[in-house]
Amino acid sequence: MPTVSANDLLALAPVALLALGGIALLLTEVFLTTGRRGYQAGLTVAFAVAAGAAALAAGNLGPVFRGQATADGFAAFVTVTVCGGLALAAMVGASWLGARDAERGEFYALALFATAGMSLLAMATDLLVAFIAIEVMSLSIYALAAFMRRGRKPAEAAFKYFILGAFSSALLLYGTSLVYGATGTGGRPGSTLLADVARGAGSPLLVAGLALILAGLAFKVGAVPFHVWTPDVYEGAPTPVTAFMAAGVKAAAFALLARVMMATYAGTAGSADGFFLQLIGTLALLTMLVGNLFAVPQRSVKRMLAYSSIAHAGYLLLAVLAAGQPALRADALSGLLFYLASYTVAAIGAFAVLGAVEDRGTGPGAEPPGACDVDRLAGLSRRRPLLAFAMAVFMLSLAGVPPTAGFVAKLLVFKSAIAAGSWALAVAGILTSALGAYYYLRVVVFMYMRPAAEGEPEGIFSPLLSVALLIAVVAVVVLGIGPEPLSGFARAAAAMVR
Amino acid sequence: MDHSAAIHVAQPLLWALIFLPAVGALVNGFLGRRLGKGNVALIGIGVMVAAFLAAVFAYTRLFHGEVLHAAGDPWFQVGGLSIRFGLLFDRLSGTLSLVVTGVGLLIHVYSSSYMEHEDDFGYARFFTYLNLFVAAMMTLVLGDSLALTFMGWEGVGLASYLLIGFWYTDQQKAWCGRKAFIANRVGDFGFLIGFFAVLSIFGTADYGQLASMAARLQGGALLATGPFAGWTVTGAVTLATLGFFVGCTGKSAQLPLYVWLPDAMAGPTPVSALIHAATMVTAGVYLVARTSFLFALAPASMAVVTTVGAATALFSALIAFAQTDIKKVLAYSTVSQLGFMFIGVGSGAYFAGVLHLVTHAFFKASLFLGAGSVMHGMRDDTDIRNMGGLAKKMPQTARTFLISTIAITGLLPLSGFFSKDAILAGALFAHNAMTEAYPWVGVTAYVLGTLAAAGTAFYMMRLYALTFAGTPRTEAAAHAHESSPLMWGPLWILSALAVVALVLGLPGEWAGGELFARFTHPVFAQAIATAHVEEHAATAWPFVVAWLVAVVFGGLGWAMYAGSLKRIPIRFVEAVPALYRFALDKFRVDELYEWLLVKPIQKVSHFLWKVGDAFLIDGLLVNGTARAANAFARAFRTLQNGDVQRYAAVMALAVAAILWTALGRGGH
Repeated sequence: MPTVSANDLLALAPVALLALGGIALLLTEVFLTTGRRGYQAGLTVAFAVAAGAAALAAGNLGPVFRGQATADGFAAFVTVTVCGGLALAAMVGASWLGARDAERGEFYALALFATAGMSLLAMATDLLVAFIAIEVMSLSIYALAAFMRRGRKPAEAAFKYFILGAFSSALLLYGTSLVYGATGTGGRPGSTLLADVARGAGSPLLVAGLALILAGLAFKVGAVPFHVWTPDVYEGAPTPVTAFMAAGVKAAAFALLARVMMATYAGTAGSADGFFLQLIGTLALLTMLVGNLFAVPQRSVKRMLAYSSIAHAGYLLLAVLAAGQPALRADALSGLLFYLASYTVAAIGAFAVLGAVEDRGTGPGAEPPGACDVDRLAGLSRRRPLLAFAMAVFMLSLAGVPPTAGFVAKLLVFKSAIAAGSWALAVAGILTSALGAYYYLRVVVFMYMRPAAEGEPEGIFSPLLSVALLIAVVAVVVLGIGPEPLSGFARAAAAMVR
Repeated sequence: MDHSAAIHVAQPLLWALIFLPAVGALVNGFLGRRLGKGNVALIGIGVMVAAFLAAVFAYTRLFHGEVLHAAGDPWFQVGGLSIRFGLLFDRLSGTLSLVVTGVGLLIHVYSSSYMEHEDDFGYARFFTYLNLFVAAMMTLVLGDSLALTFMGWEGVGLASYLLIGFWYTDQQKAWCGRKAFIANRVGDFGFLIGFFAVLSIFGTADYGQLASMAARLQGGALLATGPFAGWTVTGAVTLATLGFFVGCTGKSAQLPLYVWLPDAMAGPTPVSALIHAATMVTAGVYLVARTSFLFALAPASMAVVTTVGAATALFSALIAFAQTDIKKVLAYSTVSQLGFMFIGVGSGAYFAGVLHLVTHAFFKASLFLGAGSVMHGMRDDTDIRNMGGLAKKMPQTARTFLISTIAITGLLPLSGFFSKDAILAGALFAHNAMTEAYPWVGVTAYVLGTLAAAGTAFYMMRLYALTFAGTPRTEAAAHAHESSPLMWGPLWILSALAVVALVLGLPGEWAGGELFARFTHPVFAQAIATAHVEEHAATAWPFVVAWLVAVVFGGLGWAMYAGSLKRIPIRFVEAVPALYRFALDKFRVDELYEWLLVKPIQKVSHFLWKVGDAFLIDGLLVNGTARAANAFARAFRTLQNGDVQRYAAVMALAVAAILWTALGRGGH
């Protein structure tokens, strides 16, 4: 009879709080008689903050649930990051949906459920637990992508995401079963699918299984060539959902990917002949190249940001690669964590600004072509100077220009790649970043140097949006100027990963 | 600088010194326009009062031999290098803090009246920049590492640029701001070279750690690691310190980068007083004093500092002879006095250099504010040929101006005499590592310095005589009026300080003497030990020489411009008109730089722009890359056509490829 200890419950508290928040929002929505939904975003933010605090409070408890999950600093950091992403996305979503008269409690409930899955994913050290967490996260996100279901594009995006997501889940599950077969795990106390990878060393079954798992996860993080869904889905989904997807899903999936690769590097050492290092390196190179090259010709800023999200996955893979060397693991993983945090704020901020100015069309379901065209940002610095300034800050951070958080994040990641001896990849990363500056700065050029078209509406004004943008801008700049508190925290967190 | 004795207290107090003015700048910057002038001035002056009181309170702790050190949080960490936000309040930085907040406070008060004619926006902007400057200057002074000092160094540069170009709608003034900025950037490049050299040699930027590491070094030893492996300690440290000094020549307006300071007078006069006379321009002197333990390891650098300081002192004094703009005379005088300070800190008379910094802050601020008061009375006319007889119209301004003139001239018994003489005597009798290697430096500096002192006495009396003595030469001068008490109040306080500060510099044999030398001794003890600086027996004759020089040339200046020898200057100009034009045109240094540097750089830049930017970068790299990326994207667009089956196929193929490789290579 499995027993549940106090530590288990403490470690589960963030997940439980988020799920509780989702249920609370669903219930209040059912009994809501007025149209007033102002409390919903606030409630979501409150639950997100509580869950983040709970994760911090739980701290480093070590393995829980008989080793199937672990509450370490790494998990806490990722949980805080996704909860922060949730809070920002909720505030952005409230203003975006409010302007379209489409605010419903389900939006927040689904986002909370998705975040619960992400937090669980951050802790998972067993492939089955991870699979459940991924599905909790993904199903909520599929539904969120279809939130504006009357539109043709959102429906198509959600459908595509669902079909291809199911495909990737199948890969993941099949890989898991192969690993299970190779390691023969089961029954022994403390044995989990990840902890026992080393037992299958030398078996071709194990290598094949791990490769399939990696392919499934590569889909979730949007690594080339498993990225094909990303542009269409990101473009079709409602903008706040895209923001949440880009930041949250990526962070949680990278947490699991890092843990899986740690186990893989250790479990296949000597037998697979560095195959997985080369595989990750190849994926990183392809992802950086394709993401950046395809972002260049995009007219739609939303689609450009989708490709940019792919490109960032490539840089994050560099950190996962560098973590392959035990001596560099703490540095590389802390770089990964810092990168995830900085990307979360900058990406959500960028999507938030875009959402504020995108063309709403004439009615529900209307989809004006070129709703997110870069032309819509022309002259924004004159119409909405603060909004333009915020967007400029986010673009600079995504491009990796000092003194923003994105610069420090790239510095940390490239530094660990160089320390790991991956010179060529680091150089490719730096060159593709330079290419990235081209399309990020084009947005700035449009905002500051092109005259606005006549009769351009001013977009959304909302206090919640302003607060969210203010938080994001401050975070980006503060992390860029004084990265040490957070990077110190990330180092401490990364040092706890075994 | 004994680091182990540092007592970790008073952290909030030291931070307040930076944050108070910073908060003032933020509030006035964001809300100032709506607050109205009264509130803006209240906030701007209020934070300065608080900062000054905090500095005074912290200073009282120093008398017991304490060193206040706020060991800050980590700022950033790169590789093995860790930089912290730490503040150090010792007898050197404490003294500077008092000067910056004290003089700064007086100038804020003065400005509240001087800038009255600005509109609400301009008024708020002015106080924002002024507070911003103080915050940056306090960062420079209090930072306990080169990194923080550099941050402040750049911050004051920014504030200076903003204030010089304060009336930015005037093209000429905006251009002056740019000139200052560029000259300073050239210097900053040197600072950075020094900074990185120090990092490579010592692996730290923290003054405390640097001092204790430098104390263990032998000049002739070879460095084992880092980019300087194989260099002697002396060689490497010489490179680093010379880099710093290049930075100083920019910030503190020494040869050859002094050219920006006279043009900086385009800014409002309180700015000239605070930034371009009393505080910011002395940052270079502070840096040399702060890193004196490094300079002590490099006799060649000490010699360069001393010689450049002496040459600048004389050179700019000569230019000041012929200037007719009241602020330009004072500007060249500032350059000259900064040269004196560098003679002091360069030749091992550290306390004297810093003492002159303090006394100069008092009398030069007073002179500049007096000039501002005169400009107010004269409706912004700055040409001293149009003045005359103002003593009767503006009695308060005239009296304070006279006191400060006497102080800077070096007449007994005001403060300028003691600080300047301490420097010159220190250079003449210097006996240390520098004079062992370069025996001629001390004497040369003394001779050049004494000539510069003679020049100072002459042009300052000329300035006073032309401005205040005699009868009004124009209508404007005849109808000049005294400024408000808010303006002449600070003048009196500053000139009183210029008198009182003499107690700091009284020489050894006089009652209670050498107060400041003994007070600052702990700061410079290491440098004095490293450079083998030996005490010199006090001799009377340099005092007499200095006094005679001041009296004779001061008297000459008075006689030629207000007394019986009025014909001489006119005859001189008639006799050698070319020389006069040459001096009036500031020896055509600006034109020389224009011809030697600016024009060629413009030509090369234009060429590089044509070949490098327009053709290579824009044409090939940027547009070429974009075109290549476009072609690439078009080629692969078939894979991204929105067809979900095709997406699944791509993924399936990728999985197949991975599995093929995995099983083909890894499994067996």
